[in-house]
Amino acid sequence: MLSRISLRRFSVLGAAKAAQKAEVDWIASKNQWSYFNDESYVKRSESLKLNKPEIRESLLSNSSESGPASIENYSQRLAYHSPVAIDETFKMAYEMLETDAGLIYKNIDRFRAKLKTATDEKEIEFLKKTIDKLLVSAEISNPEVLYNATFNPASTLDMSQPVYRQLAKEKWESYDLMITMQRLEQLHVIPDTLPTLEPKVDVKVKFPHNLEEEFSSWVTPGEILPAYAVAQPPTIQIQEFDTVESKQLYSVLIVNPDTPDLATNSFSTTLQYGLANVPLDNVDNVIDTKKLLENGDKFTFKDYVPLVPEKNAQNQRACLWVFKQNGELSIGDVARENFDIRAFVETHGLNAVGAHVWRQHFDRSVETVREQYGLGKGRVFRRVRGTKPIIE
Amino acid sequence: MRSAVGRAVVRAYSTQSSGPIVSSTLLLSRNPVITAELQPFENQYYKYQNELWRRLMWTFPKWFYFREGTASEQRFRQLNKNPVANNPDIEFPRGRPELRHSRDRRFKQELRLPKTYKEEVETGEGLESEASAAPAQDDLARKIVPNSRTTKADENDQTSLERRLARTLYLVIKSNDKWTLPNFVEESAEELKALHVLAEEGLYKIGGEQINYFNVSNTPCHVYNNSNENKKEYIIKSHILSGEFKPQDESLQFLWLTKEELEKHLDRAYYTDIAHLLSSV
Amino acid sequence: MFNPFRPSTISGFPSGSVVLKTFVRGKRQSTQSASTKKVVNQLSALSASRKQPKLLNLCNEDLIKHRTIVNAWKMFKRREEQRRHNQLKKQYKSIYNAMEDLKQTSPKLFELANAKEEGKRFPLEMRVPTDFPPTQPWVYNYSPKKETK
Repeated sequence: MLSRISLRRFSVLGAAKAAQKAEVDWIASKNQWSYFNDESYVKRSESLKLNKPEIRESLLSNSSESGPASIENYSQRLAYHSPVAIDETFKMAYEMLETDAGLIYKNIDRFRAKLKTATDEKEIEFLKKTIDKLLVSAEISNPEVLYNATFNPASTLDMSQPVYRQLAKEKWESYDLMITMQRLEQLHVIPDTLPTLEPKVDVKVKFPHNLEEEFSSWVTPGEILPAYAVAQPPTIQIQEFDTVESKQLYSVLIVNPDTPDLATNSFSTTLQYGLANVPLDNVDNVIDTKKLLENGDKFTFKDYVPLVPEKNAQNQRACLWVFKQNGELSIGDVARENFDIRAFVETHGLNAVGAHVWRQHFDRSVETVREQYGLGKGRVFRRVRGTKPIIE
Repeated sequence: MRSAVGRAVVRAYSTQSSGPIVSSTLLLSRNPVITAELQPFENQYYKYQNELWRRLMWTFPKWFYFREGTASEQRFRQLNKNPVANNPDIEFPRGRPELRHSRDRRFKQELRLPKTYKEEVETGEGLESEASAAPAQDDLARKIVPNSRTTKADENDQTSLERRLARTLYLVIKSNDKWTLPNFVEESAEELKALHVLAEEGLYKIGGEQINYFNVSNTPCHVYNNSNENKKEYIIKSHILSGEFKPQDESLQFLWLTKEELEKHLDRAYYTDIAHLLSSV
Repeated sequence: MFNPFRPSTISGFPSGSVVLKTFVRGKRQSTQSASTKKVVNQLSALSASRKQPKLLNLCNEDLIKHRTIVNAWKMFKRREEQRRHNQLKKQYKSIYNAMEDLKQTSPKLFELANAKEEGKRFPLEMRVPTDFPPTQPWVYNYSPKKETK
């Protein structure tokens, strides 16, 4: 369809076409939600439109005899029956909500005009926040936006729109965040590496060099992965939910707090991967192979070495921490062994915003990976009899 | 005889004291008799929810209410025809019917129960002669028809208490060629009367004593500074419950008006000052 | 399988013996007693068996439509509530102002207006609004009680 712009721009095409479209066009002439990038109204992004035109038509027009477009099977589509009176009620509800959105857009216009003349830093920040909030409330009940956010994968959403970020945040908080926090606490990533975490960003990790579906998709926090599956540096997605205007700098650390330390009969922390000064924003939010190939030298202060647990050593945790930086950092040479993550975070004034964890233990591929990274042959641990008798 | 209001006004002017005169204004309302009119969206929403509710209802156990082989069961069967059966030899483009207890479980069940009175739509056969004979009012089997929500007074009688049954009505009177809420000033200076007593006595004086009313509180709900007449009008709220406002003075004009009509009749400044006291239902 | 409604076979017959099926002319009669039938009938009215409608399975568009309707309803109710709240707030303020004013103008009247209303009852004659009016919408024949002294 069949938006109002298309009707306007192509009105010369002929009356027949216009008549065909007229039945869908019950939306009154002063509609906020049917204008996109139109000069006469507030500019709205095209990404707020439902991305499948046939579904958009079947959502906004009355349900037709041919059934809803979202059901692909023809006979199933014909056999579907909508609830009685849903169309009339939806029409009224849509008009009500849209008028309300129109009022909010007028408010946004006022705030934008104020923002142009504002000079005080605090006031500017306040105005920007208010505009973002209003943009969310103007679009959050738009059925097209709701459809996109509910049924389309998150990767297809335009994260530069505050409303999509808000909806994505709600989705994240309702499941993924809870899983992450549970795993971080149960596996004692908190407090073994850093004392606590106030999660602000959605951190996702995957290893795209794998060919099996099992290991190439996003890693669930706490999963146990074989050594060959983590042999190459991971792709890390850092989804920020607040507005990031110009690029924000992030650093990423992967540490292993379970390296056996025989001298003290305990464990030490090893730094497996260190990235700093990675510029990201709402849309460009992935640290992937392409980015690493282009600017890898600038970001990486410690090259990636996968965890290679030696035989009979217990499960080892790969703890990934994401930090927000206040400014550009210059990190000198950092020792890989006996890495003190708390001291590192303190000296560089880093602010932890997200974390992730996966686990590894010894498996058949460990030796190959060790060879690949030139780590030599791994040790084999054995139980030793203690010096003290068990029964006194 | 001059009206009580007229006298009150004269007294107000004749007072020598420089301070404003304390007076009591009565906001007498008739509460709605019937429920408020639904707004279009409300109406539509309830209709939609009702349809969903019917769609999700269990099938009516007709064997429990109409025992097999009885006359009433036969009548029920006459009224409710079985839906189309799921015949495997027939193509159903809009989905196969799923019948359980002769109800298609995909849809709501449309039931028509046998009535105690005759209905033409039910049987549809030669009932003209019977239908013309209206059932007696005391016939228990007669069809119950609710009274109309609009009355005769709705047409043009603004002094009737039976108009606009769904709305709250307020009493206004005409004094000095202006519509106002009835305002009363104390007549004798010897004894001080409470504001609500003043309002009550004033009301009885102008409207007769055949009024049953309920005073919400002795506390005034608003003060209006009438600078034209150098008066402070304390507004007392009360509801009329039964009886009638009968003007004791033939020349006194009065009306029972809704909030919107008050806006048209009262002074603009006066109305905006008291608008928040009035109910929009 | 145990069936409480099956007539008990005569005990004493060795298992596997032939039970003669007697031929009954006409309509087959139920073996249940009248009272059992009644109970079965009553229970069947309450039970969910074969009486439940098909699950409401909305397609994506209808789900969004439904959510939009609910959103609009919430907004409608919220606005109504807000309007009422604002009006009550204004009314409270106006009572407060009136009393403050009365205190300044006439302390005596203020005291009278503030006095406790002993024995005041909510009027029984006050009606709750109904969907349709009574046959006689308003009671006119009211006369005040004669005061007895």
